[in-house]
Amino acid sequence: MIGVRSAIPRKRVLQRRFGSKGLAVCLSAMLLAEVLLLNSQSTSAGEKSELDSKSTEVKIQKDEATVSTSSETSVKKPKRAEVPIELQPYRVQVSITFGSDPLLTMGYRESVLQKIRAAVERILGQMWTLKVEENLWLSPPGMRGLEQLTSESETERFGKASCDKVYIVTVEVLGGRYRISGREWDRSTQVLGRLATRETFQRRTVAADVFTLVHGLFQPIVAIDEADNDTATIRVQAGQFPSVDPDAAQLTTKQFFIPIFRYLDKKKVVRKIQFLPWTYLMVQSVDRARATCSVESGLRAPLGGARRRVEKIAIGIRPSYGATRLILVPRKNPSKPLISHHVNVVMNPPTSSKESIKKQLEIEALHLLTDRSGAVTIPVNFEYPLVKLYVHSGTSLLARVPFVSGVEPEIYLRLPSDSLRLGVEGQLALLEGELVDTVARRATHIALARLYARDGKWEQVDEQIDGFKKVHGIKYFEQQLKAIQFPAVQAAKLQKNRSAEFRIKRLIQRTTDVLGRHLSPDKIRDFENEMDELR
Amino acid sequence: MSKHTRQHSERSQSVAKHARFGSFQIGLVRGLYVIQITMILLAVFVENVATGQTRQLVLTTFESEASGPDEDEKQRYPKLNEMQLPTVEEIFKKHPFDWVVTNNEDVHIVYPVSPRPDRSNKWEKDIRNLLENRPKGYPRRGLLEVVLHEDGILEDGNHEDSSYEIDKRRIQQIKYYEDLVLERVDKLLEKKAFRQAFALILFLERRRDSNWPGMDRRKNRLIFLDAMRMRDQKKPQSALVFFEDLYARDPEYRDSQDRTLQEEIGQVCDGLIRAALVQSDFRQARFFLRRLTDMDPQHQVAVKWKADLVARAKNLLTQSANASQDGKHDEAVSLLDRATRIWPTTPGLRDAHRKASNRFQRIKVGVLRFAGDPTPYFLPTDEDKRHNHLIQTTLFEIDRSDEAPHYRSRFFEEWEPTDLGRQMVFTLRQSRSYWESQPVVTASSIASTLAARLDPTHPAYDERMASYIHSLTPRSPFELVVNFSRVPVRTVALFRFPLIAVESELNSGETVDSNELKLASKVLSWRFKIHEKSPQRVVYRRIAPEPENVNEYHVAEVAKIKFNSYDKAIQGLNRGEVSMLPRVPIWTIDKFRNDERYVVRDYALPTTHVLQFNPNSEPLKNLVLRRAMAYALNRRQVLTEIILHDSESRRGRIVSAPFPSNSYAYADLSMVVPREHDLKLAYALAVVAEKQLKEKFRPLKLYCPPEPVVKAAAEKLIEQWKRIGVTVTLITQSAARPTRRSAMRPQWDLVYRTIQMAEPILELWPFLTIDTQAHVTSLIHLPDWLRQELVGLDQAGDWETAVSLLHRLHQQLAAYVHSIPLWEVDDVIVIRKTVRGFPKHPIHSYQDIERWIVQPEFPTVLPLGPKIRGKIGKKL
Repeated sequence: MIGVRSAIPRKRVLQRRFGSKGLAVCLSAMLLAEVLLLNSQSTSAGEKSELDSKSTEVKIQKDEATVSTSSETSVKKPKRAEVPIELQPYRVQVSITFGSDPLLTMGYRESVLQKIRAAVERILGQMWTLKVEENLWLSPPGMRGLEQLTSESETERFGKASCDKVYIVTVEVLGGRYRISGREWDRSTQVLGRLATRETFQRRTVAADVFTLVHGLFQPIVAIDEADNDTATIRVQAGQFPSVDPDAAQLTTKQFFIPIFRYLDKKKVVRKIQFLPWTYLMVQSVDRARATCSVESGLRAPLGGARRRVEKIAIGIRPSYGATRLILVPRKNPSKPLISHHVNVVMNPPTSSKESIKKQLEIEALHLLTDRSGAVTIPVNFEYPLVKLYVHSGTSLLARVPFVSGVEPEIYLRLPSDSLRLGVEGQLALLEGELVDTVARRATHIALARLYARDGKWEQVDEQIDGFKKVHGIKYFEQQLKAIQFPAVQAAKLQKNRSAEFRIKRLIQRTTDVLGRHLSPDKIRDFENEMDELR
Repeated sequence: MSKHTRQHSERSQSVAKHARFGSFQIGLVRGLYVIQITMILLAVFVENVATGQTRQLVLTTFESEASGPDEDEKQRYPKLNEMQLPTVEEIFKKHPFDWVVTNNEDVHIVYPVSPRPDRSNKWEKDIRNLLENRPKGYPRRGLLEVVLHEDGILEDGNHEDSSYEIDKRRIQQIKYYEDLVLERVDKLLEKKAFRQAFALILFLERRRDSNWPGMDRRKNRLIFLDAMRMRDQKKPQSALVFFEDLYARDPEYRDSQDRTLQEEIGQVCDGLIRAALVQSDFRQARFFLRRLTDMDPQHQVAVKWKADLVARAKNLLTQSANASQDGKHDEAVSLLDRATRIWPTTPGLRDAHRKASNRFQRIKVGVLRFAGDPTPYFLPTDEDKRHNHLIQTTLFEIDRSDEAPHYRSRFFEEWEPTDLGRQMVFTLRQSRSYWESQPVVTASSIASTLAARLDPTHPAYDERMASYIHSLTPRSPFELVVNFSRVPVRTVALFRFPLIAVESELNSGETVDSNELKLASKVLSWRFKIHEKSPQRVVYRRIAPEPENVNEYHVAEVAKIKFNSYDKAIQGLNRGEVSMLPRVPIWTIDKFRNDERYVVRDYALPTTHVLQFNPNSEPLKNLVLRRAMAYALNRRQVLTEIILHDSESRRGRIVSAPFPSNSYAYADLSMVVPREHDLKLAYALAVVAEKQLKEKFRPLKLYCPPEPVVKAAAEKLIEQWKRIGVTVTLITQSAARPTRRSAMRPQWDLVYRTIQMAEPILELWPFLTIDTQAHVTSLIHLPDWLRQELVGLDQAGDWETAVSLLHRLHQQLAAYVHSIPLWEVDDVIVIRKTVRGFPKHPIHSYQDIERWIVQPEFPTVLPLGPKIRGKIGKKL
């Protein structure tokens, strides 16, 4: 069988990226994203409060919530918990699997391990407490083995180990070249990261390449100290142990972090880990272990206030793909993607005033249209990785979220259904066309009647007045509006889609205002009076 | 002068006048006038006698027995040898006159005497009867009464005495006016003043003197000399016409220099035939030869050329027989066709031609342009579409159409939906009929084609199909299973595409257009291919020729012949140069219907004419302007006056949608009424639009297909838009032809399209986006609600939903004025009766062409024009 269309299920994509435990985290993040979107659209106070409450009460379903609270995977309160995070060096374990090629002799393997240790010491210094060992459990011992690992399996494997980050690395010989692959497992997020690969033709540089790969996979962990809607202060782990090589510094300006909420129980055991979707921290200034970040989020209060037993941390991100495929799906029926929806991507730094944002949207934005799978491909903007996404449906804005493309290959954005409102918009467009004709007809009759009246041709004037009266009046259009509004509002109520109901009513009201302006009965009376006076 | 004298003088003048005018009278009344004049003369005479005041001259004349003027008077008349023939000017300007020459050669210039020479002698008889029964005192016989012409009145003569009688015995001769004119004609011919000579002859003929003795001789001479002049001026065809005319009048003509008509005709025809043969124009050679033989079958020139042509034809006949034996049937037919053009009546040619033409059948089609001819029109022309229909065959094709199309396939034996339509099992045909020309394919070929259409990186990628098909599995070489991710409303309609070869990948960086071309070159399911191409003719032949020794053969070759206009194409059809016209102007249909030689077939789908707007055109983004332009059009007028030439519009209708009015997609009139012409409203809307746009309308560019009738209609529409202040320019020439992909660029504003939309469920989207396929990105210019309607239609899972959505779309598109549907026309195809197997209501011009049978049509002997035929027939 030739598989010709296999839409990668959401679960599989997330598994690939984060493993099954990561999947749970992602799913919870997606749920939160919905809340975020709702929040971004809602205008009424009632909606706001509802969404706010939702955002704090997101629960992970038990079957999916593999962030276990069991004793095996729990993180017991470390003894050195009292030590500030910036004084905690990273406990890093590098686990290297060598291929079975005869070139990779025991001596060579040992020398590679030794060189890695030396490189870490030389470049990172005390920032890392390194443990390098040869991995004997990975099977198959190569890139394929790495691909098969999941977040769950690695959390289970390394949960008890006293390390903050584990790098599982493989070295294979392919013909004349060496392929080095690796993945990062992070204790804070309990997520197995993406697979990275390097190749070299020089046997002697393998160790250096392994270090480069590992360092490339390394994402710093920060604790969020203070945060409001716009800025946040962070402290980076091992921040007081700066790297020997200044180029290997953990914090740099314009670096991005994704906030993570770690929910702890009374025993300070991690009960749940929640990635805050569509929210990014961008480092603005660095002061050794501390940094000030700007907060970019679709949420109104993304980081909230201080809470008990909730750790607010963030992990660094870096675009590693050329583009990300953004898939729009309706909230209630994710299997039916949102086809042919406008997604505007503002690639430049955001401007402050509303007018400028509008201008940006019109001129500078990248205008995309979702394809038949509801997807658009958002390229990485290397100059300014953080872009703003505006999802439109007709005249309505469905979502406005910040986004760093290239971090993940594929991401879903769940949106509320706008079909009812859009249907009404279409019907109103037709009615407005009829209204234009009617107004033009009336204007023609008035103009001709005045012309004839000036020449004293009263019979023709009467004809024009008759014609004027035959043209549809405001009552006709009001009836039409009611006929459009009623079924649409009823359907919205049935769907419990208050947002749609509100928007439909607003659209109808706008058209009613237009009717009043152009077909006001006063105008008819004025015209008749004018003719009577002329007579 | 006494009272009596004055009265007499007045009477005399009156008599003279009567006499003068009486001679001009014509027909049967002439005799009555003569009697009346005679009676008046008699009355005057009796009155004068009674009053005793008889005029001396008259009495003298009567009593002296026409002794004529006395000796003194004789001196005053000119002598014959002094007389000059009247000039052309005099002839035309002055009153007619005769010369009465007396025995002493005096010339009396008088008004035409009566009676005139008349074959029937009727006048003379009348006069004789009258004189024999004359009353008492009436002049005796032997006197000729004359009235002096104004030129004949002498300087010292009495103007009042212009009427008198002359004794016939004193008359030597009468030179009639006609003879004088003819003598002038002779003089003119000698001077080669043919025009004046002809004018004088015509002048005489108009005087009803066409039978005047000597007239024919002059006419013949004039024709002969004129013909000779034409020949000398290297205008042999004109000379031949004159000779033919002269031959009809006098076959034995011989001029004064002893040149005979027979010789001259032979000489002219010989030159004409020779020249035609140099250009290998045998038809023309035969034409001249036939004209010669019609005059003289045994003419030595005719005999010579006939023998030559027959020899040539026989030679070709022999060559054809050899080619046929070698299995070169096309060559054999070509040779025989050539032989028929040289000499159709060659013995044995008809039989040989029939056999060869049956074996290798050809059909000639008259077209106005060929596919791919340069034109500024950037969309496929009708001829482009016909070309594609002829050369390619698709997996499924429309067999017939009523409200909805019905499909069939040449590749599949059967196709069975299973799993509630989510799966389709295609069983391929393992062989093909001998007459079919498409290749035999296996499931893997079809699977490869389908896979290419599902691959986003392939130029054949079909977004819509990819959204439907989940997987496909070739079960065996002749069985293929297609699994759908969602059930299509019209499953087989999705498979209306040709098979393509997908062995190689496209190079990156290639343009889309070049990819499209590359794709076209990879088509596998050909049925005909271009064999030969010249500026005036394109020949297509079957991909798979029919085998030997079968009972019945079918069309093997299609030759398209280009004509400059419909008139020429129709002329070509009438002459037998072509056997089929895929499209003719509607107003000519009745003539073909009444002609037994032709079959006229209506296409299954009417042709809809639509105007579409460029979504990137700034002014046309304005809905009010689009509405104004729609209201400004008097479509009924253009339809009846330009398209149909029929006030009753029997073969056309005003429509409100781009699909046929009998289609399942067409909403009834209760939902959508075609927009009526309303100039006032259009003007008002245009004013509003101008205010909204805050600038004057710039001239808009309209592209229309290179088709004469459509072009005329487009020009009329432009005229109507001008009335509301919208200037539209018809683009007929362009240096750079915009590609289909660049159709969305703002190089154009409006485009006139003629379409036949069989399956609106699938075809509406590409039509609206002016694209070849249903690409989502092409919808970007449409408003969101309309986009979602189209997406909804594409996603519809059942027939009722799809139809209901189409009806709503019809309504919405009409209100939104996305395009302006103009009218639909019941086009026809005209074909000679010699072609059999043609569908009753063809979907396109070449439907089932592999099964058509063309009966041999042997060229008939060239008919002559009515002029020659009539004259010769009359003579015979």
